[in-house]
Amino acid sequence: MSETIKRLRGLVALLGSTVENGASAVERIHTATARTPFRVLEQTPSLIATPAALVEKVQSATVAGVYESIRLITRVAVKALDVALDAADTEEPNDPESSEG
Amino acid sequence: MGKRIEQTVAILNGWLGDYLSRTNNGLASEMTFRLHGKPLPLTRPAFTSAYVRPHHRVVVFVHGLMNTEEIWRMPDGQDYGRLLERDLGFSPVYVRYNTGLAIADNGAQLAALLETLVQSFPVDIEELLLVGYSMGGLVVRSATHCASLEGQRWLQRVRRIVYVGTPHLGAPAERMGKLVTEALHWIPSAYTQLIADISNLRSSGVRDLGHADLRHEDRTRTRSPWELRNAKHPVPLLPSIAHHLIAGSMFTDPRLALLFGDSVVPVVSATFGEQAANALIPPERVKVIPKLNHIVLAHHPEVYAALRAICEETS
Repeated sequence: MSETIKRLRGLVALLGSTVENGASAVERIHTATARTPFRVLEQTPSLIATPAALVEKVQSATVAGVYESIRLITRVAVKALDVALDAADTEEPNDPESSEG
Repeated sequence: MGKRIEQTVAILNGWLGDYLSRTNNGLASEMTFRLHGKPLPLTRPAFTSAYVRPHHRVVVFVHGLMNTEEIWRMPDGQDYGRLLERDLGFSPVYVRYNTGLAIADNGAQLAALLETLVQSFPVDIEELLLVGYSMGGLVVRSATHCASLEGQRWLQRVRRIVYVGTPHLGAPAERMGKLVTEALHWIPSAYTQLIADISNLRSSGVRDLGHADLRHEDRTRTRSPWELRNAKHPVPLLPSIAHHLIAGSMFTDPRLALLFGDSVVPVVSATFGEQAANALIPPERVKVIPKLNHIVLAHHPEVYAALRAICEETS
């Protein structure tokens, strides 16, 4: 594998990992922030608290779904780029940097 | 590849190098010897073709955190290695490595590489001069420690080591960074936790700089997070070698110079401060050059003059 392709592959993997971990970190903040008003609503009479709990469940599931789809799309994109780099590596006749230790 | 790409990869290695290495990422740099910007394979034919006129004295340059061997290049295109070859007949070898790995790991790798160098160089090496800049000085110390434990042959050829802006007693900036990160972790907010998590991504190499940890086991030693000076270092300098220290200072006030030095490494850390005598360093082997910042130390005529003077001394 040429040095350039090796590094590009590394860059793609690093970017993929950054987006995935970044999405998880933002999801944690999003969930924690959204939890605050629901905590207040929990203290109210059951007429409000019960539907609020239901709304919170729906909201949590939606948030988790959105971030999971970001992670999924990222994994697919990384895999696709990997395949493209594989193809490019096969076509590349030679790279002067490829002798690099 | 362009120098900017190489520099970017070096910065990534310094920041996340241990992660890159652990995940077999193609961006992780391997430790290599380099000459004229190209890697030098560790074989006698490769050395023979790279060094048309090999000398019996070899100088090995080890760069600092997030650098490549380009850090040694002066504005006029010269570097300490070429000048030492021209002026005093030293063959230069430049090391490139993943500065995000633990200093102990880089030290062990450097020791192994130097052993191969001694075996593969086209002529007998009579003297191996080591020059370490910033973190590179700690890597050199770790390598000599490894070599002394394992009885490696290259160590017998080392008479002098020059440390340029090396934080022998640790780097306060890293210690302060660690304290701030710990403080952020204590605040019960998702936002500060995120900032602390990002700050905690820094590599093993960066963390080792805080207290100048040369061995893995050094990290477990007890030390106050508040202290800005490390009173006792568990790996002393080898007494069989003449150790020369070169430090920069941006400040004329001696107290500021001691604390802030070249703006990254305090003079007290680069020169062992009051512990120099205990560390077997006589005052004539310590040179503090005024008005030089940390980066410039790696490619400045005044530092070269000091380096040349050290090399001209009979050892």
